[in-house]
Amino acid sequence: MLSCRDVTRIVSSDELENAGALLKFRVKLHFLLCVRCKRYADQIRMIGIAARERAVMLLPEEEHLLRLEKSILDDAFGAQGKQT
Amino acid sequence: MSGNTEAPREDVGSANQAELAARIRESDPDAIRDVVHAYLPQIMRAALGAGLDRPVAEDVTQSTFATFIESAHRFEGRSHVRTWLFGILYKKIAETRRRLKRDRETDDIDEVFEQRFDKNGIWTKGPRPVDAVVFDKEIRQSIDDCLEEVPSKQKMAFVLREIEQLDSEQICNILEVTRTNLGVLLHRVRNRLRECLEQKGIEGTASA
Repeated sequence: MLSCRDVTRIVSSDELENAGALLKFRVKLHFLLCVRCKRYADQIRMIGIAARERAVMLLPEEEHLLRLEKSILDDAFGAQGKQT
Repeated sequence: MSGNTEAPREDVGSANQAELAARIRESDPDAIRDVVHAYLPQIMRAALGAGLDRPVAEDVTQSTFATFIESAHRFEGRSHVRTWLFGILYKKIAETRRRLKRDRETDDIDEVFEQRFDKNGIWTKGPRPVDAVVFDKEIRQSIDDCLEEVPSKQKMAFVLREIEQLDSEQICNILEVTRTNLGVLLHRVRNRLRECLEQKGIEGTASA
């Protein structure tokens, strides 16, 4: 029988990714019986989603990215770098 | 000539890695330009995702590509160009944090985690139910404060997994760790973030 500590560790270290069917089943079963571990797994998932949304929201607009790109290339190749 | 700035982003190197690697090694300006264009948003997003302020994130992005261009002749093409770039970014972020003296010497998250369970491994105080909408909104406001406390390697593991959604093998290559180490890094950073958010009163429901 998996303990809550086992299940949370499996969830937080992405161990299910390469796990066999039996372990996956045991974790699923544990979630059915244990609302706390289910909530833990939900929280971990939501933290990931929120972090991604936040990073996407903070990303500057395209125009700004193109300016940054130009400045990187100008630094690397100098003014004559635009020889296309 | 393929130095086409109209090319869709993230389109570089998916088809012909070997040819692209050779062109990068020769510092072919068109290939370099394609790579910068394709991966700039990803690198910038990852830098922001690591909790850097926008000006710092821009500096780190710029210096990541500068290092990439300087060391292009050493690119062997054994790993994907994206892996190479994220590897440089990781080192830049760690450097920046050391300079700003933000990396903590010790990490007590393992202890904190253990305290959550009794001797039979059962929750002593369980997580609260998740109200997805509230949780999501509140985390977005607090997550950078919480990320601040996280050591660079853990943070980068989290960013590459959750924000860039890379697979384990790629992340292990970038951070130069084993799959088991990666599991430990993810375990620590996620629990660190969860504990930090909980301390801020974000436990899933609107009322504390």
